[in-house]
Amino acid sequence: MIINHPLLGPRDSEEFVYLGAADLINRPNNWEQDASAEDFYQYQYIRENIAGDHRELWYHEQGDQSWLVVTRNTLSHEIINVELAQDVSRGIGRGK
Amino acid sequence: MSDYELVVESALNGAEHEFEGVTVSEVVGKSLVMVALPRPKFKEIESSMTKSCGLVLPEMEHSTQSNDSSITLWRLQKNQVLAYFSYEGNDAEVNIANRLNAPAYYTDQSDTWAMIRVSGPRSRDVLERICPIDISKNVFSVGNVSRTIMEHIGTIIYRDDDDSYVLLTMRSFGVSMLHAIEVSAKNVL
Amino acid sequence: MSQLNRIKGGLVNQKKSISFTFNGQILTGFEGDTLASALLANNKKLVGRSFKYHRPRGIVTAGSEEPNAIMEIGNGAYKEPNTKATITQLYNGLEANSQNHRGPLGFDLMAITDFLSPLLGAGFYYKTFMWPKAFWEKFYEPAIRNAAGLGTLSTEADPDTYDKGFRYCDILIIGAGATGLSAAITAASSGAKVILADEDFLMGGRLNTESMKIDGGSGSKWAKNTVAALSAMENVTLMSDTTIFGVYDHGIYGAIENRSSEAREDKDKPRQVNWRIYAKRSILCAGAIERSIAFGNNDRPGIMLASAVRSYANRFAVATGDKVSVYTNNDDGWATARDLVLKNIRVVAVIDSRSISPVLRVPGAEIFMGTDVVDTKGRRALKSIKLSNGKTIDTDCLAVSGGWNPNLHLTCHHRGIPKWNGEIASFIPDKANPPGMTVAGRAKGTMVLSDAIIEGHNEGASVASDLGYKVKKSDPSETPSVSYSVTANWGVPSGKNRAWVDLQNDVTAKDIKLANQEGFKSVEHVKRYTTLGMATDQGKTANVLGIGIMADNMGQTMEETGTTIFRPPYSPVAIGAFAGRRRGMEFYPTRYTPSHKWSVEQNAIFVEVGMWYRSQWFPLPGETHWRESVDREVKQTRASVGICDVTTLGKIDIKGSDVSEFLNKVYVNAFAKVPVGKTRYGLMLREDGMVMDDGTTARLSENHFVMTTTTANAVNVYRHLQFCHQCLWPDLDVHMISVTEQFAQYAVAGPNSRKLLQKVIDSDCDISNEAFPYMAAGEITLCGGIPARLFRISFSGELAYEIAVQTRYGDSLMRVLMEAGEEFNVVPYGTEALGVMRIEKGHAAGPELNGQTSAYDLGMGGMVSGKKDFIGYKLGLREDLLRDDRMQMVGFKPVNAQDLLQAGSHLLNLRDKPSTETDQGWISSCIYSPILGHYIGIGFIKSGHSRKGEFVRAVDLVRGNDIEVEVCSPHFVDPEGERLRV
Repeated sequence: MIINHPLLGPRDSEEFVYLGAADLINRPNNWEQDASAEDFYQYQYIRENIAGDHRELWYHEQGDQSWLVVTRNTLSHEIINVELAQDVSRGIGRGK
Repeated sequence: MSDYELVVESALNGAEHEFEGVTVSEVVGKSLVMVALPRPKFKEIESSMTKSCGLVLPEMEHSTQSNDSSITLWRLQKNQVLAYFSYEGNDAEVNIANRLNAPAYYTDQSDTWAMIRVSGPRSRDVLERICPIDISKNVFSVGNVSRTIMEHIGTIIYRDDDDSYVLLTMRSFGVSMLHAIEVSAKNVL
Repeated sequence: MSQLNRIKGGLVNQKKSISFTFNGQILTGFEGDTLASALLANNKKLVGRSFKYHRPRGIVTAGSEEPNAIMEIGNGAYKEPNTKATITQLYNGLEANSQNHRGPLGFDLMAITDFLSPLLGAGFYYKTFMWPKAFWEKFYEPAIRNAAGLGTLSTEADPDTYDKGFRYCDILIIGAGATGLSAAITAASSGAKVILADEDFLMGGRLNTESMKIDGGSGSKWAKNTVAALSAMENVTLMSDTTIFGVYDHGIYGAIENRSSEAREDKDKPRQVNWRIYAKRSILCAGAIERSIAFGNNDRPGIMLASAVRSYANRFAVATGDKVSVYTNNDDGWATARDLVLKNIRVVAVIDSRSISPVLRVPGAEIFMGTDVVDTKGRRALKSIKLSNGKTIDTDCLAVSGGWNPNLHLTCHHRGIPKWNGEIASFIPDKANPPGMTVAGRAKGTMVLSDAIIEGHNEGASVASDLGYKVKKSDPSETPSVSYSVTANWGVPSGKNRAWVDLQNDVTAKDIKLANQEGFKSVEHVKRYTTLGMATDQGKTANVLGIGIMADNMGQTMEETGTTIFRPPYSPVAIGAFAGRRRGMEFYPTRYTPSHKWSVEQNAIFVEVGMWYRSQWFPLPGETHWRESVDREVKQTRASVGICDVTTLGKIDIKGSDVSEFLNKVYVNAFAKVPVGKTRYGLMLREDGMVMDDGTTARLSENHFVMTTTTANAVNVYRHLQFCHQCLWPDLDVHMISVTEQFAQYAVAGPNSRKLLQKVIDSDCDISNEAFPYMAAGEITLCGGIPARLFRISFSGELAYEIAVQTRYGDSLMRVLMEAGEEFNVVPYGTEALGVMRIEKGHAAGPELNGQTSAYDLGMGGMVSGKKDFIGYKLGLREDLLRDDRMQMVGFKPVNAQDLLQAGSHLLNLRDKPSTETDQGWISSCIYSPILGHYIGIGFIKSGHSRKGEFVRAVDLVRGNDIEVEVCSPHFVDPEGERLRV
């Protein structure tokens, strides 16, 4: 399996570590509110089981140590898109 | 003066082995310092380095050299470079910070790595048994540098001449990496 | 009588003899022979016994599709069973033995099974061995295991070596026959990087075995010249004797390069290299494989595929018979008759099942059109055949051609399903090839050589140009067009005689019929019920034939019947080749600590911690039990001073203007206001509220922190911190790098630790209790100006420090500390003593941080901040995690001080019987405390924090231990922590 790293080009999956759905970037910010318990529960445990394009987090541990958001088709195993997780995170308004 | 003296020891005791067409030897006398680049300061850092010693930030997996060729920068991560330079003192961090004179964060890595040079006309034949990235002549050019995994060991590979490659592994893995290279040489040559 | 069947010519070097043995008999062949061709040259027709019925069998093919001629090669530990003689290159001293018989090959005692065959049809295992049930384990299974299986293992470790390797190319061309060579030469001339791989040790494919001309010269000559031209090109890598065995995701191909000849001369050289080839595109030019026809007793030695008979005559200069007959349903079978006549081998008959006019004139042969072979005679070698017209023909070799199947194995590796093509009466690749793979030539169903050459030529050009290479215009090589016509013939009625479909697994046409009658309609079910196509040859010659018989049985078309598909590997791969060089000490790398060399000199006992080798204890002369050494190390440390290499703990250097804020987000306790020069203990949770890791973090300057992690979690914590930074808070000015290996770090522990360090630390660095109190951290110098870091932290509970120097000084510092400590009776201690002292102090470690324990469970709830968000905060507040009756960590000591307490024991109330329901908890860590003089443990028990002083039982049913213990504080030694503050 080969992941086309946005900065380094195609690299063997042997260099990477898998984490899980890219939803893990959307960590709730409302920790002070009581209602956030449900949000954190959803964030931690609830996942779509997608037959199709799945956005997921991979870490280039034996490479440039960047976290990547990889869009992979779970049926064909085709990798459709690879982004830097940092960019994705900033893109949804995360910062400090 | 102290009653005690600390003696310096390199990672592999200066190991050197000759094979037919390939020499495997420990690289000594080099220092390595991580230069972290805060995002808002990329430009400022680069212009400071250019001013101090003619260095520009390399592209990913490439290297650049200072005017006097004494400092090589490797870009293995977007937000940091590794400075690879001839220096044996135990204050490499201060030394390079003064020379680059750029507002980055400096962390000495000289003792973190064991450095092994594989050189000679058949070096690529030996390395292709352990190196999962494409190091063919025209693809991985002189000055290219990459971080990958070889024989379960995280490894930086740097091509410093036509037929010469420097492999860096965490110091504790040095003996295992040296062994892996020698097994390849024995298998191939 | 040497090489009775050898004729002139061929591509073997008849000037160079090679000596080998078969079943102990010394024979000779020539350079360029396979084991099979050398055996045939020596008139060895019977070469093995079949799997189930132990029928005498001979060589059938001349390639990797061979079902019968599989042998044990080599002896002793080098023996390799199930090796195909047809692709084993002959070498001097080769030892081959036939397999699957008891007693000599000619008089196999197990041949009795052949007479029992009526009992042994499809599914006989399922039917026969059902009753009585108790017989299965004691009788049936051992008996079957004894009888079944092909070949025998040496049962010794494989002494051969194997290696792996990585290669990259633009275009991988699989198969170096006419099509592959044409594709390679056009693709390579564009400058594209080409790898051409072929499983044969001689490139050229069927060009080496056929007599047709290309560009006016012989096919084999053209192949040789083309290979020479390719090998002169820098952008081409030729890999002969290399099988592409699997197609994996995104252009990764598995290849086994066989280097047996090299390994034979030099036993240190790898026998095989397992290459991972990364190819942007690939062109499959794997040709086609001939199939047989099912007729009565079609498995006798001497009955071969027609193409193989031709291969042996043309390439290997071997006559496979004195009176050869040919049975075919297609034009290509006639080529065998033609070529044999050209080689002066007598052809006695050509039998064609088609009612057409004869395709060729065959001098001296009787021609039978619209006729079939229905039976044969000759137990150990073919003697005669019987035709459907009643006629019997004396013949010692029958060349059978049932048509050709495109060799599309690799196109199925991503679940591509072949489709039926009526014109060539076989399956061809459908569109769903693995991404990046195209197919050309006979593998695609293009059966005419001239067309295949053009197709290869064009495909090579088009793939190269797809990849952006400029292709020079050139013309494909020319060869006369010879048409190919076939009419499917799956089998002929054979009455009581068995008609074999899968020779290696002994599956007959009748077995398939029986399966169909018993309700197995799906081709996949029939395969598994009859074992059709499930042997080591994966039914390369048998599958299509079997499917054809099935279609006939069920009165349906081939499209309706469908086909099974192929999975990797294309042909069997030795497990050793997958392991590569990773055996023994090379299974994974070893990490050595800075004090390793010194520790070896001290005769330290080492323990593997992950990949690290750590000193476990340091035995002194006269110490006979590890406890003696460990007890001494603990006592001496607590009484005076001890030294332990703690380099393996993860160290992460963190710099930036937002580090304290970042640490606040990853630790449960407050880090925002840690002053410069101080260390703080930190507890890290996972997002679900469970403890992930703990360690200390020191602030060395305003924007510079150094964090320690446990040895086991160093990699995970670093990864987690990177996740938190890059994914959650990307704009924090935080820069992390591992400095685990940058520093050699030693714990110096015990009441005399300060005195010892004062001897080596430079006098201008004040480390008095006032200037450098408990939890202080700072940069100092020692031994005359050598920079170091000093942390006043303690795992042992004693006055203690950890001192870190650049690793280059690591070995030296250990020696200096030991020398300077001599006056204090300093002792080096290993991981065992470290463990003893941490349990005496009640520190949680690996067995306690098991992923199911919260900060509260560990008694550290007080550390958890309620004033900030941090990883694990919210979910850590879940009701169930805060319940008082959770398993909570406490200490345990035996009521009877003599009792042995063991980790893993379960805790029970005094009067309960051991059961899941009554289980109260467990002992997680346990040691003998030399300070207290009895065993102590820490562990988890329901509502533990409020049960101190209670008595329970520690029960270990496995080791037969059942003792009474008292629940107590886990802080056994110096619970007030006074010693570490002096």
